Amino acid sequence: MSDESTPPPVMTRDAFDQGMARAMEDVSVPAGLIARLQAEVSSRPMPSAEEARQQTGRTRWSRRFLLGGCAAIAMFTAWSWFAPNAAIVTATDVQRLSGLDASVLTPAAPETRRVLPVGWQFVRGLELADRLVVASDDTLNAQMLPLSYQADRRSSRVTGLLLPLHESEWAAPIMAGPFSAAEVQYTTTGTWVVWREGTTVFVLMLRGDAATLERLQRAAANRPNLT
Amino acid sequence: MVDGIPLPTMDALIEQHSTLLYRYAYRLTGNSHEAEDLTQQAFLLAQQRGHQLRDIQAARSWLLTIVRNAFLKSKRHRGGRSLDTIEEPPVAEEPWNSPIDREQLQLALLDLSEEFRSPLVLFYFEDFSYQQIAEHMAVPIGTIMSRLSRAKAFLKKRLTEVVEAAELPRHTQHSPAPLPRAALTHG
Repeated sequence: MSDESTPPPVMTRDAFDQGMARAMEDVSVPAGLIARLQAEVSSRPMPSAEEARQQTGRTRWSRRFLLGGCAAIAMFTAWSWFAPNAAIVTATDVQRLSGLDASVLTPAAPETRRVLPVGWQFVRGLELADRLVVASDDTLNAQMLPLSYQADRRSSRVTGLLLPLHESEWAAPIMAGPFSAAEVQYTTTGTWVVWREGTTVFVLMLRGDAATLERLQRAAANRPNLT
Repeated sequence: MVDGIPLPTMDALIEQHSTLLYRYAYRLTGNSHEAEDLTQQAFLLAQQRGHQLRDIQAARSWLLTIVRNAFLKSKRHRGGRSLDTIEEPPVAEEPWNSPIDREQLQLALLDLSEEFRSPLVLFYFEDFSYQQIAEHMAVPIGTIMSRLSRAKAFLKKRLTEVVEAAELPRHTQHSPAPLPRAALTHG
């Protein structure tokens, strides 16, 4: 195969693949499906983009209203305080973000640049997504890189998210230091670490236990030196 | 950016993509009613969120993503086998020379967890590239290649067992051969 990102065309695959392709597409489509779908879609009013945005806003307001006036005022005050600045990411945000499933987040625009910690391309067992994903709400717009790590063949592969930030976007002062020396902390779904390389702060959230994260730290420290 | 999707365009999208979406949904759920329900949800969401579609040429991938997200949000995807501990298949394998039964294939697919089932279905549908599947599932391309390799090995083993069971001499069969449970090694 000349290009590893492209599987061979069906007709040049082996007999099993060809048989699979035929069987996989052998699904009977119910009679009248297209007409039913078109009728259903045409029976619903089509919101414009502006209406869709307004509708979303109304839903958010209703939910906040249910949480109580005090909570809404507190949220508004907090939002007003931070709004003039770039979003500030806190450890609480990390807890929230670490619970997200990268596979259901919106992919970032293809032109969005990946920012990687030094040498991470060469860490054994670590696979990095080609494209960032976005998680956003009223106060945060986090662009994160999905990744997975398998310490060895006997270990399960665990998934994670890497959040690169400018140092001004991280809530707490942080000393520059290597990933391998960052202290492991815990989330409800796994573990995380934060460290700074130059002016970039990296937050790594891993759906794995502390031992797995520490093995990744050691693997990063012992990566092949290709410079 | 497309500012909403006009009805004629929606009709065209339905004509162009409904078969693919239905087949994808069916292979995810294994149920025709649920598949039609997911397909309908996808087009209704597409109509509501048309302003998010920046390029009408990207509609196919976008609609498939909507189907998958709707599937993941439902409880239908719970269960299935994760293949994290299954070894990669050996390089040299016996050549395959048996037809694949679509129902047996569906049973085997439903025995896989969604993270393995989705890439398999997309891989065999319309020649999706590894890159396209990786973007669709928002995971690294290497992960997709690994999952595909292990899922294919799993399916091949399961379907081989089905073929072997069907080829047993008639006097040894006490009843129509059920799909045997795979004796795959975990851990």
